[in-house]
Amino acid sequence: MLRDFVDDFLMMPMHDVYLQSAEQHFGRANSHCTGVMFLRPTLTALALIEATIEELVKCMATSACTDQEALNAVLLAQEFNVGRLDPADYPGGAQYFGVEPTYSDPLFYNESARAQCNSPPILVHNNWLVGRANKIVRFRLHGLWSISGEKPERPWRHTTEVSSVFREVW
Amino acid sequence: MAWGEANEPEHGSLGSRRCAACTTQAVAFALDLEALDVAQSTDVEVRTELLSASLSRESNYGSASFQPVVMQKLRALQLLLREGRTIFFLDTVLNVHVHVHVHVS
Repeated sequence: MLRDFVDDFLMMPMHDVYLQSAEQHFGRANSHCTGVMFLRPTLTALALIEATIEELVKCMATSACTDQEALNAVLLAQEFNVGRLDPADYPGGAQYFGVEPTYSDPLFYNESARAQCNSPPILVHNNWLVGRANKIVRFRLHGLWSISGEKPERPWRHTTEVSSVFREVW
Repeated sequence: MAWGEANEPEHGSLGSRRCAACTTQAVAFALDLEALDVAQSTDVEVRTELLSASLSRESNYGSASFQPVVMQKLRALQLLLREGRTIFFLDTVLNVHVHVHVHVS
């Protein structure tokens, strides 16, 4: 979190639900991410969450589906009026770091993707990358890793530092 | 962890955009005893309604054994909405601070 999302939320057009894009691009999202959600306490928001629970119960019986897939299925089937968080301010890992096909390289970085994000964005979702250690390394490399009450660490740039982080978190 | 919005009732709800002073606070739903220990060592509000002794320790988001974990996440959102709280759900690592926002309109 790099800027105040509550202030931003108060300036947004009124929607019961705001969702982060799950797309790689910065255009209008057809797929939404359940990792960043802003919900107002309305009947519409409650109905969406309860429909998602029902959908997850149904799909759990037959597959390893996720809450995100369940929510997107509900959004597709029903006409919920959801707001979309601007990826330039609320980027996922694909938009802030770029897409690496194996989802396992924390060193991967695509400058042209980053250039489309605001600087700084409001928050960065450390997804599109598998593994706790990988996520910590990537945040440290980009100066986004901080421990509560301490100053953010400087970005890590040297191979030896990256190696030591892997040893530390694995 | 979710951010519930505790409003001062006399100033109206956050959704009304008329709140003069709102205090956001972090709410942690502990899903197992280990998480409960960690949550209780912080200054966030700790909830135990969803505590379970049998919840999977799986942490791979797409796996079948992680499904019960994300189901609990949805249950937590459902509980907070029924309590009339505005929710900022952030699936990421955050500094936990109490924020005080003052809006004058």
